[in-house]
This record gives sequence, structure tokens and C-alpha cells, in this order.
Amino acid sequence: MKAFAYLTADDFEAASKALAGKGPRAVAKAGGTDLLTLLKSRLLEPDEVVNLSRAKRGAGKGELSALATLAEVAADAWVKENFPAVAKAALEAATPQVRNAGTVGGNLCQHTRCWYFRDASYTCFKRGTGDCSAAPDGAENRYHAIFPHKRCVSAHPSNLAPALIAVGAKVACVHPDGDRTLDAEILYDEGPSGRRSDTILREGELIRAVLLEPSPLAKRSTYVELRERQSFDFALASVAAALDLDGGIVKDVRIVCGGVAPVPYRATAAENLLRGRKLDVEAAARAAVAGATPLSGNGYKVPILGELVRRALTELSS
Amino acid sequence: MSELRLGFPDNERKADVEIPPGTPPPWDLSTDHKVVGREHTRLDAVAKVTGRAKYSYDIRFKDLIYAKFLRSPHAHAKVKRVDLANAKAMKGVLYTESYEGETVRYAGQHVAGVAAESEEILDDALRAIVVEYDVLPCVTTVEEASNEGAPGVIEGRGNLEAGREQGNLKRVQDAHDEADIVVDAEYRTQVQTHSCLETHGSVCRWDGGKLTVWSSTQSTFAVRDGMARTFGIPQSDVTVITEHMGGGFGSKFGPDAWDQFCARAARATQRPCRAMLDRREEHLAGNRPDSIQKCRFSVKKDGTLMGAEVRSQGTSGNATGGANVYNPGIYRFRAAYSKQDTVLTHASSGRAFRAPGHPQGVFALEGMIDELAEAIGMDPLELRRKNDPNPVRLKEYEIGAKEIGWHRRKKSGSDAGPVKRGLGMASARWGHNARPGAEVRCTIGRDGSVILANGSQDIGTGTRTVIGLVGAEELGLGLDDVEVRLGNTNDPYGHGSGGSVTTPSITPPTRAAAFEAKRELLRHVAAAVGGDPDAMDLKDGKVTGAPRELTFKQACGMLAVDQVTALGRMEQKPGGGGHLYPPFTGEVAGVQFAEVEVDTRTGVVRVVKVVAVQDCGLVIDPLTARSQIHGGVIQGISYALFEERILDRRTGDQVNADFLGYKIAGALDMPEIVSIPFSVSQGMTTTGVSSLGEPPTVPTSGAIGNAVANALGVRIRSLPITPAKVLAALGGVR
Amino acid sequence: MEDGRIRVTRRDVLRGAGAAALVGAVAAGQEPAAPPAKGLARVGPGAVRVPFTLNGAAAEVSVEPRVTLLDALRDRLDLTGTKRICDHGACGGCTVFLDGKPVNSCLVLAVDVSGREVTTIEGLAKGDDLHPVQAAFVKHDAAMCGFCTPGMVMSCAALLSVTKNPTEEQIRRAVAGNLCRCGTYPHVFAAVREAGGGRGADGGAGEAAR
Ligand SMILES: Cc1cc2nc3c(=O)[nH]c(=O)nc-3n(C[C@H](O)[C@H](O)[C@H](O)COP(=O)(O)OP(=O)(O)OC[C@H]3O[C@@H](n4cnc5c(N)ncnc54)[C@H](O)[C@@H]3O)c2cc1C
Ligand code: FES
Ligand code: FES
Repeated sequence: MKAFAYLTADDFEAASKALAGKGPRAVAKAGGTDLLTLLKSRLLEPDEVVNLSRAKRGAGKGELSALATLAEVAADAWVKENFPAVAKAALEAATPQVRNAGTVGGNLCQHTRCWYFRDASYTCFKRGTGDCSAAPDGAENRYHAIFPHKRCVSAHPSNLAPALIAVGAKVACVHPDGDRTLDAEILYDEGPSGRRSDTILREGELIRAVLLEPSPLAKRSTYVELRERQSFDFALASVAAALDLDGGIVKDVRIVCGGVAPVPYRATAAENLLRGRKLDVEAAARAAVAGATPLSGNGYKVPILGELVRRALTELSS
Repeated sequence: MSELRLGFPDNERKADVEIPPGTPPPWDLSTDHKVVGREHTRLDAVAKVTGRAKYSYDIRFKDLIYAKFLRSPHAHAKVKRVDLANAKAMKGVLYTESYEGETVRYAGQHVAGVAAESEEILDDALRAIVVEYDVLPCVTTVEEASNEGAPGVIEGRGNLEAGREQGNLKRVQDAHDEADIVVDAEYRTQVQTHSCLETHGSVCRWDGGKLTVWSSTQSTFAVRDGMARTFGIPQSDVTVITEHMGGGFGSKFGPDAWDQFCARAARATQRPCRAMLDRREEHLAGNRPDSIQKCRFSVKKDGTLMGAEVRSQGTSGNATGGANVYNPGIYRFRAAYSKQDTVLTHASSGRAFRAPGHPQGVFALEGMIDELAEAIGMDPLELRRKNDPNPVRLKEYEIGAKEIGWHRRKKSGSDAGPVKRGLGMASARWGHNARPGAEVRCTIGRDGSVILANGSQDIGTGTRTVIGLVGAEELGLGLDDVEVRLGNTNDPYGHGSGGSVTTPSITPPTRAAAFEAKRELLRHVAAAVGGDPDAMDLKDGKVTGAPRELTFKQACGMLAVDQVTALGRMEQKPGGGGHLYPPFTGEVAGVQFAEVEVDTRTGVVRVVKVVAVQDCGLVIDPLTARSQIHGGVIQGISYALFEERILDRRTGDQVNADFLGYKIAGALDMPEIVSIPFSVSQGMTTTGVSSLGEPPTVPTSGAIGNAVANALGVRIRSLPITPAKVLAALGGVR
Repeated sequence: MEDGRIRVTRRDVLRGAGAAALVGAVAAGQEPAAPPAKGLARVGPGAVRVPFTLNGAAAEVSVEPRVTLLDALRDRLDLTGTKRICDHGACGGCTVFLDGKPVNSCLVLAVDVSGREVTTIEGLAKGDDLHPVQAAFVKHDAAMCGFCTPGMVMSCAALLSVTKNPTEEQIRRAVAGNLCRCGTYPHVFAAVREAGGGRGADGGAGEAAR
């Protein structure tokens, strides 16, 4: 790690102010479980690290503090009861030690695990150092996206993001130019030409809390993932699904996939196919993967994703 | 003449032997052990569970400095220029080295080195070094390296190192002709890295012209001798200390480049210096080479194995040789032939890795045996029984088959699924590797204290405890009554821990030392109380055969000298050398059975149960023996399902040189494991103890591979068996 | 060092109340780089004094903000029981308790533990009295080379501190973040089963247990 000054913020407002306008010279740290790995490999060499971990949590009713740890989310009775996908996603993430330190905000804003992104000696669209190294011939891309973007084929790493999108969560953001509340899904909007940063947050903008509103859709939600190694592993693919059934007819449904695209991937075709009809799990599973364009080394993720959609919907329909 | 009872209760063989005077009578089936063969906790267990055990990584001095190499991101390059000016200008940078002008042959080869006051300064200094390379084209796979016109790895040398050729091809072809069925198949295994949790490295300190090295090594004496050569100083001026050691698995027989660099930095600065590799560097510090094994095997319908023909290639990176595989082997073939090539690539070099060549060879060999069984419609266990010459393994088949419930094995692919179960098995064969030359010193003090000392190391296999148990047995004492000193080259010589030589080679000298010290003690006792010292012995903390009751302590109190000391060696046959006693089989036999569950929708393989029956000669301690077998099985599972060094083919860089992308089995991946140490009176030495370190990891991947094939009805001939490969084999991948 | 220390209870920390008061880290012998902005306490990049509670006693270490808790423990405080194995959160060898919960000390900055409680493997046994997990590890031969063992012991002790009679599944999940290359896992499971008072029924506590 390069030496840095350490600024501990009392609240998100102060932290955001300290970060804004400094570009890569200042970074925010919550639990530090992702940030420290990037600092150690010198992918980031900020002059200042702004510590959020002692900021006032200030989360109100129906809110999940951005500083809540994954372990706290997984164990929270209200979340378990009303947003089972979120609790499950948190429980399945990482290791017990990481879940005790890693936070909701950090999990949503963590950087991709693409090994080319994480090694400064390769060019990388996300790092702004050139073209994606994972796409061309000869690249090792077995864990990458099957719904790749033209300019980046990394796989989205977060467990929480698909789950939060599936239950319709919003994120409350703080910035000196004005606070705002975004749909969790908007956070990852790629835009037409791709985006370097992992989220659409403005420079210095911070997530203060996640806003959760109970709904029948959210209550009937789940999260499933598939790991190569069971002990801990980033998921080969994950599916967060939420289903609102009315006498066997699908009133509303959300199917959001992790690990298969540079951002959480909304299986819109499958959702559209299901909405207003009798639940047809097989058709949904087929539709979810229909548009997949796997890379040289990850075609196997396609049937896995289909199976996860099948599992999630089957669980929700019983 | 005495009678030696060899083998195991169901299969005993007697041999008439001459016991040389002054040597302890050899242990055999008649020996009634008091300590040996019973469960004991390790002597260093408390130190390890409390964090008090000091590993080389943990050695600290007030004025300690830190050293590290800067490494090339390119696999093949000329180091044009190394600019150290910025690094040298930093406060706290104390020493630098440059490798300007050298040729880089793998991504991760060192090009510069720095030693500094703190790890933070060191980190800054390495970042500040500017290196210019002439980047050259690289080859990273066996196929690429074998292409016409491929860039050479070592100047003036082709990339193909035509290796060992064994057997008579003509005879094998005749056997194929005579056989009913001939099966051709190609098997592949991956590169596996050692992933020792304590990385390689050392702490070096000079006191005047004398060097002390705290080294994470499997061979304290090799490090001593290597350092003495490096610095042109006598061995007597080098002391190597390895009190505890966090795993080696074959990769730590140094001194390595970084150890020598560390010692140079320590000498230049006259300060103790630490150079321990980081995780990325550890992945590059050695590996189990990969293999492509083209096999043609044949069999008669009655299950007689006929011809076995293997052509293998593998890469040991930029090291010449070392990619041999153990295939064919184990079973009786009418005729066998193998040709084994090592292909040079621009990758970090292979090193010995727990049973070098065996897991990769046995994965293919045992797969082929199952393919033959399948082809003639014979139970694979039956086919093995028919062709296995080893009496120990024949018994182990029985024990293992019963424990796993082999009768439940269905016809391959017949399980209904979608989660399909399967059973598989595989075997291991290993040498009885007792090597002469190691020495143990036994000292008995007048207060009854006993010290057993040897300068080699305990790499986690329990050597310290084994020495204690064997010494205690000989002296009629308990494990707690003896003190074992290990891991300092100022004590008597001990071998490097490789080839599973340690326990078979260290136990006879331990016995000899304790035996001789005991005889000396008893002579003093006889001088004090009368009686015939040769009729006396030590049992249960007492002297037997003396004119009056004496405890061990009282006996020691009668010493006319301060202490008695004896140096024990492994006795050899007088004259020509060789082992004192005949062997039972002269080899070590093991069998493993695996039960797996394969989810055909996701391709995930879950190992449900593994049964490992493993011979290791006389079992010294069933508890630590079980640990050793468990450990071998677990590494085998990890090799079978998860581990794989992944190189980017364009750069030769390992993209998963960490513990996230390089996956080793964890707690949630554990099946039920039943480890059964199988005690055999093996003869040969005074203890009849045999090798156990490596063999238990050999058959696991073969057994799992066969179980997966049994579950699916489709065979995956490539390790690791990942969801990607399972789904591809099932035809589910577009 | 007692005087420079700011006492806080664990509950205060969890609530995040009075955050500014918690920042006990003080720049040591260096000028502040800029006047501190409102709501921000700035230290470093030079060495910073970090007062905290270590194994039940007041402690202090002086390090740059970029130094991890792991390196501070090992290289500054000579507590080498905690191991550096991957340095990236992926092995559990560096597990310590931070305010009672197991975390990877390689992913925690030392400045961050200011005013908080850290327990390392050295603080687990009471003198020669081993923690029940440690005693059971000895008995069941759950340490081979022993390099993963301190971290493994910490994860198991953390489990037993909240789950009296853990099931095999709970044990496995509690040590899922601890890698062992020698392959002691089955022995670890047996040890924790015994230390936990035998094979218990699933309390359903699940993740909350950790
Ligand atoms: C071994 C291992 C395994 C893992 N496995 C998984 C897994 O399976 N699934 C999974 O989802 N994750 C996994 N992770 C990642 C882990 O969950 C994240 O590292 C963690 O959640 C990040 O939280 P943090 O508070 O530590 O973030 P930090 O490391 O502090 O920050 C991460 C990033 O988020 C930014 N940030 C933090 N908080 C905020 C905020 N409030 N607003 C805006 N930006 C913010 C930081 O600037 C930084 O860029 C794994 C990590 C490890 C080490
Ligand atoms: S050293 Fe911290 S988790 Fe590996
Ligand atoms: S005991 Fe060696 S790594 Fe676990």
C-alpha cells in the first residue's frame, strides 16, 4: 500500500464532502475488505482514505444502514421475514470473517474480481488503461460474463445487488451537490457505451442506506447461487427472484442474475414471458438464457444459469 | 538365529535372521509394544494451538530488516535495464540487487531485490524501481512449445526433452494382438501448486563470519550445506534452525534464490533479515507438472491384463525433466511400455510434490483399468484383484470394499438422477524408503531426564512425536518422560523430509540410540547393585532382572558419570550394506474407495465418502497416522475437483496466484473420510516402520474420477473435474 | 499509555454513537497536513498512535495508517501467533476477534482498532489453562503443521461463544473461511463437537450464531 492520510468521518455528509472533487486521490472505506486488497496490489494509490466505518449509521425505519455488515443483514429478523432473498444473499456471501466486516455499501460498490482488472500489468477498459483483456483469444475467461458488454466482459461480483434489485430496493445517496434516492437497479445502469466505474455514483457520492419496502413480491423472494467450491467462492452464477402469484397467475416477477454480466443482469425476457400467465418454470429458464453470448471459456455457465432460474422459481412457487 | 514374524495376522511369514550383537532385537508381530501403536497427542500440539510455536515467519529481532524481490510480469524477456536510483534514494532502503542483463524465463522471475527497514518502505521501494524489458514471444503449453518454430526456452536446446523410455514396445504390441479388447484413451492432469500455508523463505543473521538461518524448509541440512557453498564458508559456520514449519509438500529443499539473497542482505547490512515469499510468489515457487497421457491398454475377456502402453508429455516449466508420471504400474501386465517426455515452457519450474508423478499417473492408470473392466463387463474390483500381486493390497481391498459398501455399486450411468451417485476405487504403490545415514543422540541424565536429539525438521508429519514414542518404548518410559529436540543442524544429521523417508529412516537410529544408552545405563546399575547387565532391561519405568527393585529414576541416580550419551544409526548389513533383515513385500500398499454425487443439471461433483486403507509398515501412532491419511485424501480431493494453475497463454502469467482463484478444498467440501491405517510387520530395519507421507494422496483423484464415471456413464479424463467439464461431457454446453 | 486511551464500550461502537470521540488515533510527531474539516478527523500519512485493548489489557501501537492490524500485531507487538498466509482475506489464518467477532486482521487497518477490543490467539488461553477448543484440538490431533491452527481455533472459539452445542453443519460453516493445506478438517470438526459438549441439535440460529 502507498502511504495515505486517514480521515475518519462523523457522518456521510462530511465523508462525501471530503471525497468530492478529488478523483482517484481519495477513496472511501467502509469495512475495507475489498478496498484493502486493491490498495495492497496498488491498483489504487490514493493520498487519502476516508473512513466511513465510524460514521453515524442514521438508518431509519425501513432502512438498512450502508454500514450494516453482511452478518447483521443475514441475521436480521425483519429482513429474513420480509426480504428473504436479501438475507440469503448475505448469508451465502464470502466467509464468516468477511461477513463480519464487509458492509452493505461496500458489497454494492465492490470491484469486479476479473483477474485482468485486478492486475495492473494488463490493459482494462474499467481501469481506463485500454481494451478489455478478458475477451480476446487466449484470454482466460471461464468465470466471466455470458452476457458480456462490448467493452467489458467482467462478471458482477456482488451477492446483495441482484437480491436488492429483485425486492425493489432503493439506495439513499449523499453528495455535496444534493442527496438523491435511486432504484438499486439504476445504480448499475451501463448506458449505451458502457461505463468504467462499477456504479453510476458521482465522484464522492456515497450510499447512506438501502431503503426496503415490504411487498408481496419482496416477501416471496429467494436467492440461489452456484459455487465451484462450496467453502467460499464467488458464485459462477446467482439468481435472485421475487414472485407475486395470484391464484397460480403471475402478477409480478423479478429475476435478477449475478456473475453473468458486468452488472446485475435482469432477465427481462423471462419476466415478460411470465407476467400475467400461469407460472411456467421451464419456459422462464429457457427465456432467461436465450440471449446469452458466452465467451470462449464459459459456455457452461449458460445451463447453470438456466438451472438456477428453475430452482429459484420452483422454490417460490411451492 | 532368531525368528522374525513378518506380514500381518492373516498373512504371516517367518524368517530366520541373525541379530547382530549390540543392536536391538527387531520389532515384529510378536512384539508387545507399550507406547508404540497407541494413540498419543503430538508433543508440539499445545505450542501450535496456543500460537506459541515459532515458525521461521515468526522469528523477530529488534533490528530485523525485510527483503523481497521485484518480479517480471513477462514470461520471456531480456532485462534491458534496471533503474534502482529512486529506490536507493528512499530513506530506509538498505540494500539492493539488480539482475540487469539476465533472461527471464517465466512470469515472476526476479529482476531486482531490495532490503529495507520496514515492509512499508520495502513496498514503496519495489514500486519505485523502473525495469526495461525486451519482451520476447513465449510458449506456455506443451502443445505450443512443441510446435515447429516455437520460441526456445533454454538457448541452444529444443523444448522437447525426450525422457525415459521403459519396456519393450514389440512385446506390448504382441500382447495387444493376443488380447480380446484394446482401449485407447487420452488423460490429462493439470498443474497443481503446493500452496503451503507458510510460504517459503527464511530469516538470516550473521554473527561475525557465522550465519544462522531460520528456514522454512524440509531439509535443514541441505540449507546448511547450500548456504556454506554459496558463501564459501565451512558448514560448521552455518546453523539452520527449523523448530516448526508450515508445510512443504516437496517444495522446500532450498536454499532458494530468495534465501541466498536474504543472507546477502543480512551480511551487507550486518542486520538480521527476513525474506518470506508472499502468496503470489509461493504459487510460482514450484508445482506438480501437468500431463497428457496417451494410453493404449488391452485385456482378455477373462480379465487377464495384457498390454499397457503409455506415451506421456508434461511440462515442468523452465526446468528440464521432472514431468514423468507413474503409469503404468501397480498391476501385473503381460507387457508394459512407457515413453515420457518433459516439454520446456515459459513457466515457473516444477518441483517434487507429494508422491511426484504418482497422482497424475494413477489417475490415468486407474481410469484405464476401469475402462477395461467396463469393456469386458467385469466388476472393476474383481479385475484389480485378479491382477494385483501385492498381498497387503488384496487384504485392503476386502476391508475397503466392506467399509464403502461396494456391493451397492450400480451399472455405470444407471442411477436415475438428476443427482447421480457413483462408486469408484483406485490404488497406490510406494517404496519402503528407509535410508541409512540419519543419526539420533540419546542422553540420559542422572536425574532421569532423557533427551533425544536430531537436527532435521518436523514438517507437520509428527516426526518429533514419532522419535519420542520410539525412544520411550525402548526405554520403558512414557512419551511425557522424554524430551525431543529437533530442527537445529548443530544436532545429529537427519535426512530431508522427502520421498516419505523420514519416519522409516529416523526410527531405527532412535531405537539404536536409546538402546545403546540403555545398555550403558544398565552397566552402571550392575556396577552399583550387582547382577548381569545383559539380563536386565527397562520396562514400565522400572529395571527388570536386577537383584533388587529399581525405578528408572533410581537407576539413573546410580550413574557414575554425569550422563550417558549414545549416538544411534540405522544398522546396515555388515560388509556390503543393505538392510539388516528381509522385507515382507518391500513396498507400501494403499487402496481408496470414493462415493460421489454428481448433479447433472449443474455439473457440481460432491464427494460423499472416501475410504482409505493404507499400509505404512508398523503403525507408530494410529492417531497421527490417521491424520496423515486424512490429509493425503483431502489434498487428493482438492486436486481432483478444484485446483488448477491457470496461465494466461498470451503472457504466461498465472492469473489465479492467490487463494480465491486458486481453490483448495475447505471445510464445506469435506466428505466423510474413513482412514484405516493398516499395520504390517515389514522387516528390513529394527523398527519395520515404512513410509506414509506421500502414498495416501496418490489414489484419491483416480477413485473420484472412477466414481464420477460410474455415476454418469460418461468418463471425464481430465483433472480437475469441474462443473464446466461435467456439463460438457453430458453434452449440455453449446 | 493508559492516559491517552479513550474508553468506549463495545455497544457504543456498534451503535456508531459519538463517532468523533472514538477516534483515539493521534498523529505521532508529524504536522497535520491540512486544517481538519468539520466532521472529519485526519491522521497520517506518518505514524499514528493507536490505543486499544489487546487481550484484555490496554495497549498502544504506533503505525502509519496503511499498516494492517495483522502486521501491527506481528511486526510491532511481537504477537506472531496470528498468521499471515494469503494477506487477502481468503484463508482465515489471520483471524482475530474485533469487539468479540472474528475478522480477518489482514483486511483491517490498525488505525481502525483505536478504542476497540482485539483478542488474538495469545489471549485465548488463561495462562496454562487452555480454552476448551484448544484442549480439544490437542486431543483430536487437529493441528498438523499447525500453521492454519491459530486462525482455525479462533473461528471455532467464536462459534462456541454464541452456539453452545453446534451441529456438524454449524461447525463446518463456522470454519468455511479457514483453509488448511495439511487437511485437518475432520479432526477440527471432532474437536469442536467435543468442546461444544457433544453433538447438539440444530438450534436454527444459523448465521446469527456467528
Ligand atoms: C475471500 C472473499 C470472498 C468473498 N466472496 C464474496 C461473495 O461470495 N459474494 C460477494 O458478494 N462478495 C464477496 N466478497 C466481497 C465482500 O463481500 C466485499 O469485500 C465486502 O462486502 C465489501 O464491503 P466493505 O464494507 O468491506 O467494503 P470496502 O472494502 O470498505 O469498500 C469497497 C468499495 O466500496 C466503496 N464503498 C464502501 N462503502 C460505500 C458507501 N457507503 N457508498 C459508496 N461507496 C462505498 C469503497 O470506496 C470501495 O471502493 C468476498 C471477499 C473476500 C475477501
Ligand atoms: S492472511 Fe488474512 S485471510 Fe489470509
Ligand atoms: S495444519 Fe498445516 S495447514 Fe492446517
